[in-house]
Amino acid sequence: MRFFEKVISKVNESMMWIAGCFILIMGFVTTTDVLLRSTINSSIQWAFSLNGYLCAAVALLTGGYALLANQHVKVDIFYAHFPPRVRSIVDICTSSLLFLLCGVFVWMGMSICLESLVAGYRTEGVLDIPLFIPQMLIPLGGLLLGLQAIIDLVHNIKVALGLTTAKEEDKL
Amino acid sequence: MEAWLLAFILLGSLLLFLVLGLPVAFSLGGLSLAIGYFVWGGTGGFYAVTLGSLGKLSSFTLTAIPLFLLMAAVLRHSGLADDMYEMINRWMGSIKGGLAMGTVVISAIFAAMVGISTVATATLGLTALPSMLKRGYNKKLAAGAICAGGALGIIIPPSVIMIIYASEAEVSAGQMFFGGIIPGVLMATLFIIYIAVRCMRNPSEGPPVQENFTWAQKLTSLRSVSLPVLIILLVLGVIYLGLATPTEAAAIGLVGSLFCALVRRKLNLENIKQMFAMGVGVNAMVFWIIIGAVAYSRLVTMSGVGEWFSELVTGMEVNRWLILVGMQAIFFMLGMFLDPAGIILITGPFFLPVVTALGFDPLWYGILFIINMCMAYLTPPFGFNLFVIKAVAPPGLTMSDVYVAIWPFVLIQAITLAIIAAFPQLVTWLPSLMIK
Repeated sequence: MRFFEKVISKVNESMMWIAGCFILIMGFVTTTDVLLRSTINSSIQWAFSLNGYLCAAVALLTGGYALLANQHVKVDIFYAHFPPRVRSIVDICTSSLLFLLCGVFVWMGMSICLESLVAGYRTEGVLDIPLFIPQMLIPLGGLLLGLQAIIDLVHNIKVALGLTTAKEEDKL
Repeated sequence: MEAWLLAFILLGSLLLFLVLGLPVAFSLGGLSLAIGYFVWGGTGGFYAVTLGSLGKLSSFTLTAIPLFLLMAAVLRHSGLADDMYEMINRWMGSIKGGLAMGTVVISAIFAAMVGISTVATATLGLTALPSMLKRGYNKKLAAGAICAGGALGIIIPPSVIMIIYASEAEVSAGQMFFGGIIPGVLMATLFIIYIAVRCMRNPSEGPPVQENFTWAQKLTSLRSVSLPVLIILLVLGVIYLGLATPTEAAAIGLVGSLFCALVRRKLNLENIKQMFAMGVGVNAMVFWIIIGAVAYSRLVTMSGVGEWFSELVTGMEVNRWLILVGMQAIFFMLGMFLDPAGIILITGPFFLPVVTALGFDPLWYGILFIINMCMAYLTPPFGFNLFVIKAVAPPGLTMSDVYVAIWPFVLIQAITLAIIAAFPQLVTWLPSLMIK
């Protein structure tokens, strides 16, 4: 389990670097496009489509990272006052919705990708690539988030069963 | 299923999961899928939601968000605030309350560079707050000015929340940006007037600094605002002149701020890691709420709940302004517990059709919403800026100090809201001048 946890956390952390670089690419390509357009009246045709796909990639691939970094906002008016064990039990129950979301993304996302792959669909517009490539982001995003959530779930089960305390889990 | 019953189940269970601490993104998305399973009669609707999410995430308006957020993170870690504060110290320190007023000015400059509210509060909380406390400023005045100044971040363009609103309400993000300028400047001016009056009546709250600076020292300190002013002119200028879309302006701003960080020798690996962590983390938070809202908005619209609500409200025999006040009151209450992105995405499918049906201008209504969200950043118990300042403040400042400190500023924001509601031209005038 420790190994699984380490690997998933490392993968999600690396998504932070990948996403950061993607945003930089968006920034530099778009700036170059604007410069070319306003100076020599030429433009990078594929910049527009590339931006859209990179934006989707940055968003979808980092759901797991945000969970790892505790960035997803929640209303903790009551939640913060629950005793640690109650909090773990509540988290186990409410995470069912998170797993539903991830499950739908992985399952539906995969079937959408396979459909596009088999039919040989390609993206519309100037950036002509197989459509399943951007579509792969959906199941991948769901998977990264889901795996990170499994780690949290295991922690919560341990705390709920009294096998370990929340403090010990936090230290790990 | 009856629309009212579905609305009751949807909003009731949403409230339950939010209170139980499930993040807003997963509450919205997971719950809508679960309820949608029954409403849509199976998994058929999942296909549309999944494909719709990808479409939404790659939509042109929203692509500006990661760029603006990374830009904010770069500027946050570029040490700009320190130099700008030193400039304020040299120019305004000798006036009663000058440092607090100057803090609002720096916040407004930050607001014109970054699209979120917490950056100015976090950076000024680290530099301006200890400095003002050391010089004998009232800690509540100092903390209030920093929190309130930070909230300007979402009303003075660029603004990430405006982009989300623009995408939901299908208005132009560029026009939203320019609609926010006058209300933002008005709010900042009212803050400054309030601080000035308060310190004039009671000079011990903001005593003048005794240090004297030569003109040469004062003029050299002006250099600190040259880069920020350049970035502001670049980003807003290209949108105003119709040379670039908000997304393109965000890209230019990001490159500009990286250049600024490079010049200031702040682009080392440790800083880049912090910039990425902040930019990517906040972006993920915002976008996963948007993902959750794709399912939610589809459920509300397709099930007829949105239409039912719109007919219910517009059919009421009351003045439309009363409905507007009611909506603002709901925003204000939600703002105490939820973040602005969550609020616009949760209420949007219900409120936006009503706004159009009542004949209000969605651009102006959007700005009223944004001003209300400025208040949300300050109102207890969960105003974001309160936690931000508490996290960076010296130990002498307690949470109850902060809670007391913000109320005069919230009142000023409410006055701004009322002025803008009464005079819509203050919002619509600048966007009407833009070159399209």
